[in-house]
Amino acid sequence: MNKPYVILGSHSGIARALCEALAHRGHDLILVARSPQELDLQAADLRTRFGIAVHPIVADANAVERISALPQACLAASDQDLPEGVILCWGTMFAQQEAEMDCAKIRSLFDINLTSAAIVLQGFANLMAKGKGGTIVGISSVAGDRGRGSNYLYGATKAGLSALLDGMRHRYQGTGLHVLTVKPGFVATPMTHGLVNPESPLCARPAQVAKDILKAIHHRKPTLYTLWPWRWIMALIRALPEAVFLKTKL
Amino acid sequence: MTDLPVSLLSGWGRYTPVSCRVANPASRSALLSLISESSGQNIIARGMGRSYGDSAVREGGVVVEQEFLNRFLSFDEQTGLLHCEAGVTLEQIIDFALPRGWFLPTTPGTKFVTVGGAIAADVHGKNHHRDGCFGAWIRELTLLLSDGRAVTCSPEQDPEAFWATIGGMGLTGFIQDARIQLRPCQSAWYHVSYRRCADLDAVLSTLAETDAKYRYSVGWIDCLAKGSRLGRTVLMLANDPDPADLPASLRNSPLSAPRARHLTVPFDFPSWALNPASVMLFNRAYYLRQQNRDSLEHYDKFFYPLDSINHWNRIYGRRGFIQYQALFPDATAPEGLRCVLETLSSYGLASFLAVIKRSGPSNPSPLSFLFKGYTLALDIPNVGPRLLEMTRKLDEILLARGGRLYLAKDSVMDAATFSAMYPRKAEFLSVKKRLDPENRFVSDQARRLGLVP
Repeated sequence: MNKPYVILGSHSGIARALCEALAHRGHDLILVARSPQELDLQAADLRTRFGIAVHPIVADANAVERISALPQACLAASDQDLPEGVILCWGTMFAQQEAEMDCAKIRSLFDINLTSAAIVLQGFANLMAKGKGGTIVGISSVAGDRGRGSNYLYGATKAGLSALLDGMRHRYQGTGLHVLTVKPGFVATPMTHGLVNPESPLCARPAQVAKDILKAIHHRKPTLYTLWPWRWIMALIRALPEAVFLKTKL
Repeated sequence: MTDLPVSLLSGWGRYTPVSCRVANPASRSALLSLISESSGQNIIARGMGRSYGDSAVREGGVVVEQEFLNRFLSFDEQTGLLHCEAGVTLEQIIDFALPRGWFLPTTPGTKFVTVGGAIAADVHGKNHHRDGCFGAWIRELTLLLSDGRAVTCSPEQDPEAFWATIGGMGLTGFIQDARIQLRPCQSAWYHVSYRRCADLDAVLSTLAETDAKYRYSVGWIDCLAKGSRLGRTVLMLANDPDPADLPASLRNSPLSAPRARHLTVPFDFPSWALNPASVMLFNRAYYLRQQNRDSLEHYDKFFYPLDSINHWNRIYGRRGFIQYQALFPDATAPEGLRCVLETLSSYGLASFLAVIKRSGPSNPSPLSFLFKGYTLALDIPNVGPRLLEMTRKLDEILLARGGRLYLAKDSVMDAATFSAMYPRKAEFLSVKKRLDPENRFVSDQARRLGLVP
């Protein structure tokens, strides 16, 4: 029997694809999401199609003060069985101009994408470092690689998340606990509906991203860009001298 | 609401695309808020976009995709009753059910349709004469109305709402989920008998004779053959597969079929690529190649030959094409089909894919297409005004003989023709009025056919 995976934010576009791919491989799943109704539907779907055990847990990443209890709750759901992996998929995005004018939106960007992520992933790392092996995965974004005028509020939260994941990987190397930083470029998900062109060759389907992530977990890669051209696109954008960068409309 | 992206959408025929605002709700609650926030505006569900005409578009309105509303809710392996959301595709059902020994009770010629679309169009397959339409296998469905209520209906519970939704083209509300009775299936391989019929009379008499003998029957008809060859056809006949008949190599795992290889049409063909000469050559070659023979085919090849070619609609070029699926009652079918074929051939409009089928008795749905008779489905390239001139002529042939057209394929029928072909329109409208009093659920087709003011 395969050990369970914890999917944080199981209802995101990428998470849905990950759940299917993991269930297909026979892993039980602990699903964490905000809406009890959607959690029940997703759990029914995965149980029906794959015959795996699914434990739904309701939690809201926006409620930072209550989120620290989440790792223990997940452990309780699987009879104290340490998960084989934890994949952080929750995240939110607002159009930059919308967020600039709204403190509440800036606050929830940081609360969801960074603060809750840091509290929960550190909590899991503390538990999993005592076990043998395991993987922590965080879905960050290419938007964190360089602050750009068109999307820097979201980008700042993802820059923070990338640094968190990179640092964790450093901290736990040698313990058997592996940490993977995932940096998707454009992905056609509900979060990006209307913001990215799904027909673009640089835009990935969630199923492709999920496949890439499972492969990167298997090979214990440090950082995954998906689709792969984004590694080189972002290298180029990071390499641009400031004077040139300021003249672009990125 | 103003920030919904605008897309140019059409049906599978790519005939006259229109600008629609496209939503793709990620959850039931997102769909509910979409319905309430867009109050006063037209809204229509869209599955895989495989209806041919304007059934799943609304110019300036909100078109709601079902990509994320596609969860399996339960399955009883003993009885084969599947409960799932409307966005689940027939392909997903087959991938799920076939290894467990179950198959679709009936299926159209593509598996790239959603359950919601299959219910709304009350699709049929090669076994209509035996098993009826898709709607005959729906035990219960839940409809989401514009006031946010979810209404469950079945042949026993609120049958008016149930049967108006079956074949109702999405105009009664959003289909949220359904319970579908699957059919037990012991093998993914079908024994198919190919039979050549030299003319129309031979086709009709063979189809009538084989009704009782074969569960599945369909004919590929050469629309460009004239004179004594008018209506010549290759019939394909099959029954449910029996694993005992399989060759030893397949007997060990009769339920697994090889993944079909896929080709892709990478771009629009130029408009001259399909012309009467090229289609006639293709048709003649196809007819002559087929001998009377039996062959063992897996379900993908037997049910879904065109699914192996991605974007096959591009072969008709940028201007697109229409489908014209006509149904004649038994009494007028021989003469009516002859008139249709002669008209087609006099216009010289190439129909690459023409299919003839036997149909069985109708069901209680007021807008469902089929009743007992024969149906002929044609692809006709969009050649401009001459196309409409011909379809008007075909409409008259149908009307004079008690025939009708299939809404899931229709792009051009006018409101008067529709009213004459569907005498139970008023009955449908009275149910629509109860379920959708503000006429929120509207497609361009519903407007064109006069189903909404």
